[in-house]
Amino acid sequence: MISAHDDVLRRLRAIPKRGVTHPGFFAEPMPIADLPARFTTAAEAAGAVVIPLHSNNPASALALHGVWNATQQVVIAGVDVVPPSGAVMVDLATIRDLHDLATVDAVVMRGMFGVAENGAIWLHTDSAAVRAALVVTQHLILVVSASELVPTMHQAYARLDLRATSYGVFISGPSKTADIEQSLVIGAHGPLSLTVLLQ
Amino acid sequence: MTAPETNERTASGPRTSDLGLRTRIKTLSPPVNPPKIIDHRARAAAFIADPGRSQWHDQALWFVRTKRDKAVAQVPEWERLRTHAAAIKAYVVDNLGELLAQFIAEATAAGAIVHVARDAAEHNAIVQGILNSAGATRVVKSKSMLTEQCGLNHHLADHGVSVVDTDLGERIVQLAQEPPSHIVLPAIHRRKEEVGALFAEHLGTPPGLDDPVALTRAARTHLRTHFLAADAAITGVNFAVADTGSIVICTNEGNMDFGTALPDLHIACMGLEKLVPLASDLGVFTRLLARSATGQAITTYTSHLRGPRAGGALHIVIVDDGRVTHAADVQTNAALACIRCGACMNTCPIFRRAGGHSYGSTIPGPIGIVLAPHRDPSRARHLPDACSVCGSCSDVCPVKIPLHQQILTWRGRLADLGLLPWSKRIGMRVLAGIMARPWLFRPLAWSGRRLARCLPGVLRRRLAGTWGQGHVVPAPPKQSFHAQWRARK
Repeated sequence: MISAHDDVLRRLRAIPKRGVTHPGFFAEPMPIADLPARFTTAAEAAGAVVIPLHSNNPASALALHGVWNATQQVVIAGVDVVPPSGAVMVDLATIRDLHDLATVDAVVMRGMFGVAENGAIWLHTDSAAVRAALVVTQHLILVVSASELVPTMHQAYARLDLRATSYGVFISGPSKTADIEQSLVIGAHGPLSLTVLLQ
Repeated sequence: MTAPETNERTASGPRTSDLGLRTRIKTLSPPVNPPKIIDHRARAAAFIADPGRSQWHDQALWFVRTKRDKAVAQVPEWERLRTHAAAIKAYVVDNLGELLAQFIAEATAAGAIVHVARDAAEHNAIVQGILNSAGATRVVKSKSMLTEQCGLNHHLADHGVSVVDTDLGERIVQLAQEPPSHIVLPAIHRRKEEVGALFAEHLGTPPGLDDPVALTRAARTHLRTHFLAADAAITGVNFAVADTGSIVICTNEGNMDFGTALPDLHIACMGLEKLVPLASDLGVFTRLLARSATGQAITTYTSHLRGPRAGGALHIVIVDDGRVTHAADVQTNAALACIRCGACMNTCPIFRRAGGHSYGSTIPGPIGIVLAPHRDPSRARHLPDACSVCGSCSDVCPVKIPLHQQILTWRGRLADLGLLPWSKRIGMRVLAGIMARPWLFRPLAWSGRRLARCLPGVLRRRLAGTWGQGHVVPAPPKQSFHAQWRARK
């Protein structure tokens, strides 16, 4: 008996072709003059809190941040900050069971780049612990460099190599839903808040 | 007509699947056996019997349509994007065999295990087999219209696997034991008071609580326990990149990312038309999808998975279920371009008033009308009539499917298949005979006009049949249009 795999492929290939060609890359997407300004507007529209970092020190900006000060368990990866006083630092390298991350309050990570048109930040990882921490945490804090902003999704994908990673994600704002009467509620299953430190 | 039934695949009765607990659930609209023919008119009548609900539904969806318009206005190249997307999808439909083979090779090379299913039964059996051999019994599922269409939840429940839908809207309709009424807003037909009542019963929220924020928090807490307890995740797929073997999944709630983060087993189910050739094509589709769906510039999470995560397994189940036949149908295969944004539903004057359950199909609305007859023309024979051919769906479609034209195509095809009722067939033949003969048409029109002028308005409305419902039927003018036209000249 022919397998479903072979059967489906055989029947698909039997369909006469019309000779349609791929249209190629999308040319000339909209120019965006002030990338940080547009990025900030878009990220805020998606529910994020954007804090511009005037000095290069995320710690001083975070010290003024309510979410940060209430943090009990924190994951800090690739960003040079110390945890708030009294908070326990969780080291992802030592996580044996991913479920242990369920009690994490805040995660601080560096985004690779941001997209000005929609406020999304790209992160990618091959670590199961990083992937879990990103979504299990109550609050997410992402650091992204203002010099690492692209105008639209076209330039974003031009920067990416999807072959290089098992998990990559554009995150724009905290998790949200409007499934009850179209009322927007910030904080669905993922983080209740997203803070973007624009460096 | 009583109440909406479950989707077309699930003839079995109500069932719950909360971690294996078979609680008694008061069903707000009990599933009934699927009818042989979907009576859209009767189902719509059932929904608009509550005018408050129908009006609210209409306005809620129009609000989403308005948000879409605002988002679209931010993108000057919107029309070029639509054209580009339609061209990519036309290429996909023309090269499905090659792209599918390429995707399977790339995904397999990345470590995913790829399965192909010819129909819903094969799909369900494959998923069940994967879960059984992994010993998984507690499954969290993120939104997938495909698994809904295949009746996967019921199938798995029958085989000892409990499935918890984790999209909030999907969870609401799962608790209410009904199918989703919209592909993006599954519970849009439910008022917050009804959600409150469901949650009070199933999640133990205080009776009378109907604040959307409080209800969403309750769902978050409830679903978190399921996320943490799950031993497998099932998800849909928005895009499958042939060139890299990646799958792309878009959510706002983060339920896909949460659901797949902890358990070692992830099963992603997709229709074979979800393919896109290149990663760069995603730039086009991610710009169109969320703006069209909800008026957001992008979904909160746009996640790209290639192969399993460290220590886990990723299975991808690719489903035909009529799509290959559809692809070979050159007159209608543009509908395979659909990216499931729901914009055609939000704009459709009939969908907005009649509700998604009136279509009796997992995919409702204009796109549902053009997909359903492919599956079962007899069952869907009335659906193309649920359209005023206003063309708004085609105007908002991000991939430029000529929806209203395809609906007209289906009207013709269903008539050719002899699926119209006798009354309509005879009526249309008589009318065609009269219209083609002016010597016959004019005296008949004259006497008809005369007669109608003598009748009281109430009787005119009666004679106008369903056209008279909810409308005033004015008296016809003294002179025919033809005579008025002549007099002007």
